[in-house]
Amino acid sequence: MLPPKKRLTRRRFLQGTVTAVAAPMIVPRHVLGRGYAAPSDTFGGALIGCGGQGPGTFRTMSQGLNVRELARCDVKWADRADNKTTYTDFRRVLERKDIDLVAIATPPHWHALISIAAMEAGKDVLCEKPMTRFIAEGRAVANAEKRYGRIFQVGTFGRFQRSRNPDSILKRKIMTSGLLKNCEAVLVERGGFKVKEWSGLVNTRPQPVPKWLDWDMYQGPSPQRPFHPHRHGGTHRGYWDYEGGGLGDMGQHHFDPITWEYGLDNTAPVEVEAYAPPAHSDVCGMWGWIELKYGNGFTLVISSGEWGKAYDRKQPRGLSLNDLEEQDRKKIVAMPEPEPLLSFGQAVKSRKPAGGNAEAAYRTVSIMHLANIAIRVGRKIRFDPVKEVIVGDEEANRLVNQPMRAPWHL
Amino acid sequence: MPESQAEIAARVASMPDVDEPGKESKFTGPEPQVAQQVFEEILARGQEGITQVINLVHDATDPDFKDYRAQYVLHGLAVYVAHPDRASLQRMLVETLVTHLGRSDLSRGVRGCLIRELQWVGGPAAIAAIGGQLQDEELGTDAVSALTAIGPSAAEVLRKSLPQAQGRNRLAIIQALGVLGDAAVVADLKNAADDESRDVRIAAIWSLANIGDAGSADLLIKASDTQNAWERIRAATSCLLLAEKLLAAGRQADAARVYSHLHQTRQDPTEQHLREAAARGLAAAK
Repeated sequence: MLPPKKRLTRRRFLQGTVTAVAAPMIVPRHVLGRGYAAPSDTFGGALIGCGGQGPGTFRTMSQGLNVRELARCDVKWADRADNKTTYTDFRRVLERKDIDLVAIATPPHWHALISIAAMEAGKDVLCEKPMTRFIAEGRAVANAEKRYGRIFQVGTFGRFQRSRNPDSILKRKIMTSGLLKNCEAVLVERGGFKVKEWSGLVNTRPQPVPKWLDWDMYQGPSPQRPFHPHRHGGTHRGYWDYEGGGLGDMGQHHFDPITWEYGLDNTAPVEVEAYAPPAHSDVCGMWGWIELKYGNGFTLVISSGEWGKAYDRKQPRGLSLNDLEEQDRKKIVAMPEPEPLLSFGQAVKSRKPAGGNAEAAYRTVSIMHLANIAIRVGRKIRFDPVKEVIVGDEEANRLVNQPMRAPWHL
Repeated sequence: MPESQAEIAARVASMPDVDEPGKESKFTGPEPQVAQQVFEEILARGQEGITQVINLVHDATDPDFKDYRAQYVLHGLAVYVAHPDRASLQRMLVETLVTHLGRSDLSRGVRGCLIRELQWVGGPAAIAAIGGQLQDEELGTDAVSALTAIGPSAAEVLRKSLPQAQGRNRLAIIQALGVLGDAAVVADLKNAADDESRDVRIAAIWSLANIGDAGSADLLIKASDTQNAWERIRAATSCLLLAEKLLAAGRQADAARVYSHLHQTRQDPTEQHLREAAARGLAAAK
């Protein structure tokens, strides 16, 4: 049996120096210590957030791995959690030493905090989209992934398919080569943002909290508000306190393949402008379009098709080898192909970053957050992607890192 | 109704009706230039115009509550004046919000609304008024959030309110002072690190770490030895945070002491990630 403290490297495993795995044996990973992942490993898994999406998230987390579901946690079990296999408090789940992997399918206002806490407790994380509720949370998750050497994957996978498309691979090569002096590409994403569907309600009156719901824990880091059923269970998407409307729900799906394709995994838009009615303070509402410009010249336009006049400022424009000088085109063609993106299961076993790791996911979700900030402040904003602050607009910048309700904090 | 009051009421009523009148409903706001004209007309009447809007805002539980419009317009005014080129209008709005926050006849719901608008646009001029709400059982945490958003200039009022604060409000203030990095509260935080409430202990430890107080290293090291599972996880996080701050401040030896303790005490296989994080820290501290 391998000594618990010794790290097993992939190379040593392949060399067959570890006789312990020659015979079929299922040994829980927590016994052997993290960093060791033999094919027969059984992982202890937990699902936090057991609404409609939860079981699917757990299955996704488990792909390619032997995972035993040991714990489920949801704030809607206030009257029946046994604190052995069912919980209402995620902290009790994370305390467990037999949990290795955590699938998070709560509303987004909890995504960052639970992801970070799970990684602090030594777990690997697959977290539903959108990764976060505001920008600074994303940086905190990425920092935790790095500090604790954990695996994080966000629950959107379009970039995996995009990364196998030859045309997309070419675009990525062009954008990451450093040879393109100014990108004139304009990408317009039209429709599919469910803006009206995920708008919140106004003229609501508070209602009694159901006995089965831990409303205080549900709200968590978000401001204390009177209970209303529309703030819970899917329709929570309509409230800034928990998500960001249809843009929050669908944005990461739309933008994640784009950030891979256009090599934007380490940066963010520098100028954002929205066309929308003045936003409500609590309730997510309608919007027409948002124009986001990157420092390298790339422009992304998001058009809802659900409100106002259509976007007509710029025409869509692609990206191709024709944007480069002849000698540079040859260099692009000669560039090696990008490394294949690792699935969550592959990342857990190899301890290399997943395809949708925290840094990449943070840069994607930042697009969504900057768009929503531009909607909420009703004016053009400028963002510094290195300092990760909005520049020259103190009030807009307050939405980058929002206060959390104690005891919760980044 | 005085003419100005009627005119303001008409401006507010000009906001679109909801999708399903008479019900809890979705709605669609006006075109931005239409709304901007309404805001400018209200603001042209000075503090009186803003006051009239505030007087139309009612809590949803209030029998006088009509619909979303008054609160929507008030928020629209706050967002409008927050434009970097409208500083004088912003001062006027903040002054008006501050004046009304002190009114005893306003319901908690409406005062909460004013606090949340000050979280958007308030600055040093709003600190005292918001601070006056810190001991309120319902509004205290909203007040803490607003002061946190305003920034380090709000630390003093938070610190001065700490001795009287209780329960959730006390916890919120302890945490906020950590977020704001208020070094003047270190002694109070050290006392709180021994509190009977686990949440308070955890918040105090974290706040000391985020402040980066080198003199708290021993306290954090001791806290990290707890065998309470959740507290142990949080204490280790705070130790790593403090060590990173100490490294950044050039205090390698102090940082190394914290890292070394974690490296020595995290021997369980399930804490291997902490041992490794501490090892990386020790390497960086050399």
